[in-house]
Amino acid sequence: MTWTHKNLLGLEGLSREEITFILDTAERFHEVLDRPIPLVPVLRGKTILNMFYEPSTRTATSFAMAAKRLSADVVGFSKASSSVKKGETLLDTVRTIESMRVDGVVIRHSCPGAARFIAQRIDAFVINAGDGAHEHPTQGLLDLFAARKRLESFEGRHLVVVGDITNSRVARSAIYGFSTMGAEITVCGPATLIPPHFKKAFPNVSIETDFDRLLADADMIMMLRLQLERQGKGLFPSIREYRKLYCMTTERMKKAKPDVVVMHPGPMNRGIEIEPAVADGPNSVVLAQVRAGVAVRMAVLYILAGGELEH
Amino acid sequence: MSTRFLIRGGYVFFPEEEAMRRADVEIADGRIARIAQTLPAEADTLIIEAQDKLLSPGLVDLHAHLREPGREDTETLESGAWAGLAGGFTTICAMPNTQPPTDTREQAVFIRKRSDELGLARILPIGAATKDRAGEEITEYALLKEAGVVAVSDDGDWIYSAEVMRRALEYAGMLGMPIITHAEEPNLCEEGVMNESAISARLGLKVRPAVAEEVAIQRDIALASCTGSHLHVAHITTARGVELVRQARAKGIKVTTEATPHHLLLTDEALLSFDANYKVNPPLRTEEDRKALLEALKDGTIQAIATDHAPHAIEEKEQELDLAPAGMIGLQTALSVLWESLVEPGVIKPELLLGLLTTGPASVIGEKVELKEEIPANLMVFDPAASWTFDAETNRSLSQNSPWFGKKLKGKVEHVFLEEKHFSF
Repeated sequence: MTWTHKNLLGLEGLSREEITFILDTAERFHEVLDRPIPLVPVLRGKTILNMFYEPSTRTATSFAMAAKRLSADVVGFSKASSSVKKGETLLDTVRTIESMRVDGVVIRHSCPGAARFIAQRIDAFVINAGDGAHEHPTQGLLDLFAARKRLESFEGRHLVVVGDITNSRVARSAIYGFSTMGAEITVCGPATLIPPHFKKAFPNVSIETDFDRLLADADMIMMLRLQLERQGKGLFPSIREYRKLYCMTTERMKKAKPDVVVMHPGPMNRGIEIEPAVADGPNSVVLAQVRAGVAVRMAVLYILAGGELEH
Repeated sequence: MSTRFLIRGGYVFFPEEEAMRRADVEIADGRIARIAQTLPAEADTLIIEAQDKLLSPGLVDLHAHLREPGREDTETLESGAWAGLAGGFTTICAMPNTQPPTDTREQAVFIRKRSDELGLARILPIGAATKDRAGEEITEYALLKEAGVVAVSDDGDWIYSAEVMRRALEYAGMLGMPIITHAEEPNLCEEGVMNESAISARLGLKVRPAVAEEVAIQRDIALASCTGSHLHVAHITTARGVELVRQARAKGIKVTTEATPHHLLLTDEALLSFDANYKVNPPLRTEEDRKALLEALKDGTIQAIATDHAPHAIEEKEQELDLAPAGMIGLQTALSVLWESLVEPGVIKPELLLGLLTTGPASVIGEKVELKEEIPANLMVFDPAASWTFDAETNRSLSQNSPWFGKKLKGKVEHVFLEEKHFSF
């Protein structure tokens, strides 16, 4: 297929063919990662800039590694070490970067729409590595990639996303990605962490506040990281109560399908949203997700950079 | 120099009758000399052909942020007054959230004096309801009134303390001044940038929900009822909010309200673009709310359309949505966009729109708008068919934060008569 998008700002609007194309491309790079020298020269001479306006270890590392595995030059900054702290606006940062001529920009920012803001103003391609609570498309793709390794097809399969739905870009990208691929989706969490007009926004997604009701039917369960500071804002009363209602425990695993796929975007709060025995157990694909992340990001960088893959 | 103008054949809006009919209007020495079906042109008369055009008393804006003193890079009393004139406004009420705020007699006198010096659209100061707009101590309402203040408000913020609001209403009521409330309960709006809706659920943006307006209006109506004072609800946006005002008015509580052109014409779907020009407080609401506002215009629940003209520098607006300040400019475009979107398609009648932009707002601040012989000329001519582009060339404001900036608009103010002065646009 021919790829027609300049940027990857979200999974909203991507077709099943396009998502499959990325996943299939990622499959080939996933094999590269097994080689003694996991390096392909497809983006030699290209420069990728990683702009991380929010602290991030795994996504920043994953993107940097993906670009290096493709032989691209990688430069980057995080908020703490850049002139962002000196009060430079995003617009000026963008202009500065543009004049340095980079081929692609990866941006993580706490404000929804930040990746799009940049994409509208520069010639280089832009990959959204998470914009506030809006989208995190490569996370959605790596979730699909990791789950696809376990399940033949997503058609009619049931994905349950558990946690802070309101503030989760991971949840939104999962909703767009998995529903486009044919899965049925239920979001689950306390009423205070599900947006009030959610049903109208996502008419095909079900809402359930009782996690236990969903266990028997779920094919995939995605546990979201609980932002602990939200307790102070009164969005849930205590960690022990949250754990009681929404933690993926070994007890709950007993009520789930034996082959249920358990996902977590990381970093995990072990013992809060997921018990260590589940996180490290046979149903968990947590580490496979991390590995998939590198492959998927290689695929996205490669496709957007218009690189040539040797057959 | 004595100058005579004959405005011939226009559709004239007579505010007291709330009616429009064709008439010729003659202006001599800054006064309306004659009004008749047809008037002969005297020898030294400048004739303005106004067939298919509209002649109305100059418009009144209850709600504008003119940024002087403090942010003269974004607007001054002068540039704001010009933007007003170009939009047909001859009276502009200036909100007090300047730096420093209009919370003393001296600040109010400064605005009145400057307005007189300029001799453009008349600028009437609105005083801060509390000192430094901090919501704690009421300002000197009597001294403010003496200096020309027409209402008091902490616009931009809700007066959080019910006790302070009660005292403010009591004291302003004694002096016959309205209190203008910015009805959004702040705890429900923390860091919010848009309406809480299906759109915000999709975009992951922080919200300023409709219920924040509802809660604030409910409390303020209760306090207006208990004090018997005049409460004016600024920029009302929600279906529930107008219903509360409707019910209160039916009970005889002295509540008035206004809506902005942008809340009457746009919805929160505009935020799908992430364009910060659509970020306003209170936020753009849903289509259902917008329709409720239109109904409330028709049944008289809303007395005025006010621009909430809010200039911001480009570098402030061209930022991430979370960081950009809220507000859009509107003085120069209000009549054009309202006419094209509401009057042309027949949503509301022309005389209703003109009433909402003249007599309605004037009545909130205890003024009258008339069009009759012998009074000083205060008129504007609007051509509903003329098109123009709102851009750097035509814009009279020092700011350009408007979703209509760069767009071609239909309907243009061509002349404004202010006593002896004649402005052509």
